[in-house]
Amino acid sequence: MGADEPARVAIIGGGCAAIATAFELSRPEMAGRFDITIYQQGWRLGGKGASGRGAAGRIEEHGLHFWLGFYENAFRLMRECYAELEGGPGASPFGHWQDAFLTEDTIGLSAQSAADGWYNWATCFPARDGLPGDPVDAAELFSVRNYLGSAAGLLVALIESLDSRSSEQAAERQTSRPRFSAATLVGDPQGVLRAIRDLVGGAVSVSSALLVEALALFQVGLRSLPSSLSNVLVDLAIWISEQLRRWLEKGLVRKPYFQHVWEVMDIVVASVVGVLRSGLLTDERGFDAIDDHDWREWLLLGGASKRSVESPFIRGLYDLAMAYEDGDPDRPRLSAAAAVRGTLRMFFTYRGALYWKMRAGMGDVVFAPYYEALRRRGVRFEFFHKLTNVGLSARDDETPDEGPFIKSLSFDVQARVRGGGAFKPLVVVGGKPCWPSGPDYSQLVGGKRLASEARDFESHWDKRRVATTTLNVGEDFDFVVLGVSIGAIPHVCPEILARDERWRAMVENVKTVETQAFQVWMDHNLDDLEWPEPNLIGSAFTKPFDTWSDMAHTIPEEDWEQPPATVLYFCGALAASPQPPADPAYPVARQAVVKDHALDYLRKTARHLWPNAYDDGGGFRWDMLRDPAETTPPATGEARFDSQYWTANVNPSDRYVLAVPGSAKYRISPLDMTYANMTVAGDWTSCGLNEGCVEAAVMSGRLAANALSGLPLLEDIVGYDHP
Amino acid sequence: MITPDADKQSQASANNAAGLKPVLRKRRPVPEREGPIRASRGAAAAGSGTAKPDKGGGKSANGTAGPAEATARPVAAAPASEAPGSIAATVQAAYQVVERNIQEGRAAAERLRAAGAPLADTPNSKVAANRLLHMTRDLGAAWADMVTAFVRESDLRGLLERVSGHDREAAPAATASPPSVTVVQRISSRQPVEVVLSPLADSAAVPPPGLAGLYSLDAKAPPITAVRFAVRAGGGLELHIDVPDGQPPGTYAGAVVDVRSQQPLGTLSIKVFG
Repeated sequence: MGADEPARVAIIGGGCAAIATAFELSRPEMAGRFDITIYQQGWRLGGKGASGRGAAGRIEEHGLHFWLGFYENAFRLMRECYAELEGGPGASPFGHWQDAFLTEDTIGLSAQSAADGWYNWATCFPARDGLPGDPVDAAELFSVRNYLGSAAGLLVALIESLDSRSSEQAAERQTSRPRFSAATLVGDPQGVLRAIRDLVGGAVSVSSALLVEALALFQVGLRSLPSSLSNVLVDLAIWISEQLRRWLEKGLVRKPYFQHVWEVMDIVVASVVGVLRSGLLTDERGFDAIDDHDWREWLLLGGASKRSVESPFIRGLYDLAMAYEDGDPDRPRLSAAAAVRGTLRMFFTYRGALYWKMRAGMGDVVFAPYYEALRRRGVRFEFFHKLTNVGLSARDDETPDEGPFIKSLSFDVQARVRGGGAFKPLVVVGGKPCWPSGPDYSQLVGGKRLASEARDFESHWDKRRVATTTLNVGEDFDFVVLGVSIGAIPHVCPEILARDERWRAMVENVKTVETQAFQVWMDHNLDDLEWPEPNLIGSAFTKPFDTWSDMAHTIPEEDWEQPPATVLYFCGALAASPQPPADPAYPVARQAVVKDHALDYLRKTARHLWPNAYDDGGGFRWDMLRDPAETTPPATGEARFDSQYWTANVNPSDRYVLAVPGSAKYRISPLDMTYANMTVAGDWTSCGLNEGCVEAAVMSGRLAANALSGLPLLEDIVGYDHP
Repeated sequence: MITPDADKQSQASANNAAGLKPVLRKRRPVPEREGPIRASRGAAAAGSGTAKPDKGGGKSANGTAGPAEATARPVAAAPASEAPGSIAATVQAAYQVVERNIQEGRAAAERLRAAGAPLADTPNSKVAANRLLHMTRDLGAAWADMVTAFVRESDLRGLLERVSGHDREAAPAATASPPSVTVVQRISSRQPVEVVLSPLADSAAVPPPGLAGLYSLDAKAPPITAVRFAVRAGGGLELHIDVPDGQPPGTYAGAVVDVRSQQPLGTLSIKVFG
């Protein structure tokens, strides 16, 4: 082929990263430089974010998905996609992006006390200016100084919130006066240093007013003092932490709410001290300098109390990151680098709302619009193509100049489309294109037989196929975007692993975990069940389903004749099984385990959340569960749970990617040039954020596009250049 | 190409040999870099003398860019103090900062003098130059005042002397990136532009590197060809870009190459706004 002809790009996989790459490479501005085909096993896009519509059009997810308000890249591309569809011919069935994403501002953490058992602690995060995906001044926003200043501001806000709740504290504040005013020291480094010296070296009677002024002084110091004087700021931060504890312990700590605020403040202060002590203001590695530490260990080094690092706040964040090695609740492992970077982004850089829920399934809200936009741009989709091998060049075929390259891609063809045309994957529910929970067999050759055989096109263990196919470099493709998740790499890249030590180290050290989820549709809403808090995302609850949410807003998007009152989603890490995954019975056995977990949860655990979900005898009211295909006579008791939805995400590519301590250095970047014609994409790559989430995947996908085209510019990938 | 299962893989091995010839294969472009810039940009706050670690070229959105310094100066690590406590460390670091600011001020003055007429012709450049001079002077004065205040404290004077002696022995630590050449940008454009130049190694300065032109992804947009590097009398390089009037908005990019070996040294891109 000629040099001016479009480069043929084979994108393997249809998750967030792969789709982001396709979206970037197919932009009109690329002027047709790339001829793109996406190869996807089964019938639907989405990877770990895939969802489907089952009976009654109900939404069935891999887990509980929400987008955080700092997902700048994910929102930017999503907004562009929606705008492109709205600007296209005819009315877009997807509407405006803000109709598809709903703001949420409350996180609920569950805590346990010896006296009262489980109780809930809900925290509302106020709306902030702007919307995720708007233009952003990243250089200023993502500086360590800015983060430290924000942390000091948070502490001030927390002190003031305690003041407002405690008449005793408020009175104290009224009568005490600070010894200085930090506001007068702006632009006066000499005055700042003098004030710090006086403060740290003197005897003080601590008060909230003094603490607020000290924190203001800290903020002024951040702006006024050079990095080489960060040790002065360390001293001030330590002084503040000591005084803060003294102040808090003057009576506040006995009350549960204040205890939790105390814990948060303790963690914030320990983080500030840790950042300064670790030299992160100037370290060219940024937060990666602390990647070898577990986050809790690092917080303890910064002076956090043991109680704080075991608090619901920290547990909740570990839960949200599924940060349990092998799914073992006794082995929480989360890189301090990933945790600090993630929490700073999460709490200090969100826009609009702390998090955003999707109005319908993630497949419907995210992947259906992308599918439609990409299809209109001329991107081809080859569904039912399951990658089996990435063929590496023989050494004899390589030149020193070019090095190794991908010479072939082998697939199992799981099904063929009648008439040889393109498979049409979407169904319409409520006027909107959606992904079904199973394929439309009527489009497939031998569809009835395939359906009767109950083939599982997304199962790693179901090897049934109708054909194989091999694509060859130069003939069928020029470039490869390997967008499968890291769990699948050992199964599809044996040739690379046999030859490439870095890839072996990556597969060994970038760990993943199985996850589990279930959903129940109920005839009573949470008010009926005596849930005392507002709608929120609950976390830090007991294992194995530590994270949950009321998703009542999705019910109108489903297709019930008589809609249920609500639907609840639960998810968590799934502890590793002693059963070898190679066993063909493995996935079925794991499904059974998850069902048992869900039943057990409803039998016993959920009573802490919804007292009225249990009858006078203490049994769960199974009759509340809505069966979309009610039989006559209806199922009763626990058997009603059979009509609900649960999933064990145990396919290698479905495993959640962890950020365990010390693993960042093993990640390989999409920009890595080892393979002359291949790049990688996924939240498992070295993509800047290095955490298992949509934003990391999209950043990686954009990096992969940069690797092939030079665009988007690295500076335009928001948060890539980040401490 | 689909292979029926009955004779699976039978054609897979018949890989078209022509496809394996390197001359026929497309290659990925060499990336600008292979990792993120982690060093906090805020680390350069308050005139500490640190600079962006590995991001070459300044950015100018006004098209009449003044000198945009692109030095990557290693951060001088504070030597271990002989005396404990924050005051000792403060004095020690302050001394370093004063010295560095004085050096920076001299270097800046030299650079501005060397800039000559083109700089003086552009009002924005004058403003930028004045700001730079004022900043250098003010910061130097502030730190001098601070140290003076400390020195007045008799119990600290001896400490300062000890620290300053220690400091002189401590060469700036070569902690990070290799030295980059300073590049002053001179851009002539009626349209707003943003210039990004990847860091160029010090060794790239003589002879000055070359550039074939800056090309757009849009084939209809003419390239920007009036681009050249020149060696500056005081050291470093000058980058001259003349953006023709009416240049279509877009991003134009090109490779900076060693004119002797033709080996790529870095990349230059300019975003022309409408």
